[in-house]
Amino acid sequence: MNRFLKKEWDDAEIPASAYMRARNNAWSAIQGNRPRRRNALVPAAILAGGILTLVFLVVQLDNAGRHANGTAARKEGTRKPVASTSTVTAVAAVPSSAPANRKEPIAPAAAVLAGRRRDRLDRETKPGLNRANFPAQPAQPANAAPERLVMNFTLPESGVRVIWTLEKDFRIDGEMR
Amino acid sequence: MKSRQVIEESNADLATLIEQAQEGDRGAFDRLIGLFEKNVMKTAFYLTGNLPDAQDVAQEVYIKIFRHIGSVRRDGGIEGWVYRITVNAARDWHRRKRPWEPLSDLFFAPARRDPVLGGELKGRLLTALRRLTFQERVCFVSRELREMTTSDVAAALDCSQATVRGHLFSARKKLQKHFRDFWEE
Repeated sequence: MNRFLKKEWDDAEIPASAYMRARNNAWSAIQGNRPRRRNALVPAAILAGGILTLVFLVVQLDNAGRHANGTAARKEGTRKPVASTSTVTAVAAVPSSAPANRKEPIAPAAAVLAGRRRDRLDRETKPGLNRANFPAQPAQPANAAPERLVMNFTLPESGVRVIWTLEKDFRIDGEMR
Repeated sequence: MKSRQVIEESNADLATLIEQAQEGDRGAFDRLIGLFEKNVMKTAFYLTGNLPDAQDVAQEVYIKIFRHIGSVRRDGGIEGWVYRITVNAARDWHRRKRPWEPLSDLFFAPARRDPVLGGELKGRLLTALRRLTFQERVCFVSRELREMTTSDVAAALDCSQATVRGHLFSARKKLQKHFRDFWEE
């Protein structure tokens, strides 16, 4: 191996222009001129440009992703009910059109009557539940209509929820007062 | 070696050359540098691994030769002194080397355009030398390629002969492994 390497050393023919260039640069430096150095800015500038392009692409992709997410969120938002400031909220479950599918048995009339009787006995025996113990509430004026009426309907089979919002000034025939 | 003979034979003229060069004679400067430039450029080439960097290192060496050769003791050996400043300049180049320079070597492929790298084997040798540490590279180039003695290398690197032998041993191991793989391909 050493013979081969030594041959490489001896055969290393460096061109005369390389010797001349080094000598000229050294002489220029000795004479006070700044020696000409190789331009190391070109690879550095190319590298910096590549990095900037990469950063720009990443930022653009990130913005595009955010925009897509925002659009999706807005679409979902249209399905949500409007925030309500209503004073009255009525919640009703729409009965199923197929009562045969109902799993809960209907309570017999005798059981309902027994329950009412038990409630009456409770009111009589427990003084806290007596109506006379509660102070009388002032009667609401006749024109104290709610500003807005919100009705929630939930279909028990499909789980679809329908929200109706009725304004105070809305009339069913479509006219606005 | 030839350069040593030249320097010894023209020892009397050397002072004249230095004086003329320092007075601004470009021809005297060229003749002065011409005494050392082959060894300087080859050493720089094998220590840096490419011709443009070798030119930069050689340029630094020429400036130091011009400025300090008058104060060097002739009996101590000018050639050893030149070799030492060449190694020091290459070491400075190695320290200054920017982290992105291997990338520029990769993208711009200077080794392929390098007129010195004619054959594949030479390129392989330089690739193998890049795998060595700087100290290992200096020891190997000095001892195996320039055929300097271990004591001269130790004096030039300012370390013990045992240290030089240690660097040389590890360099040989790495290169043997590299070239064994190469010959088996």
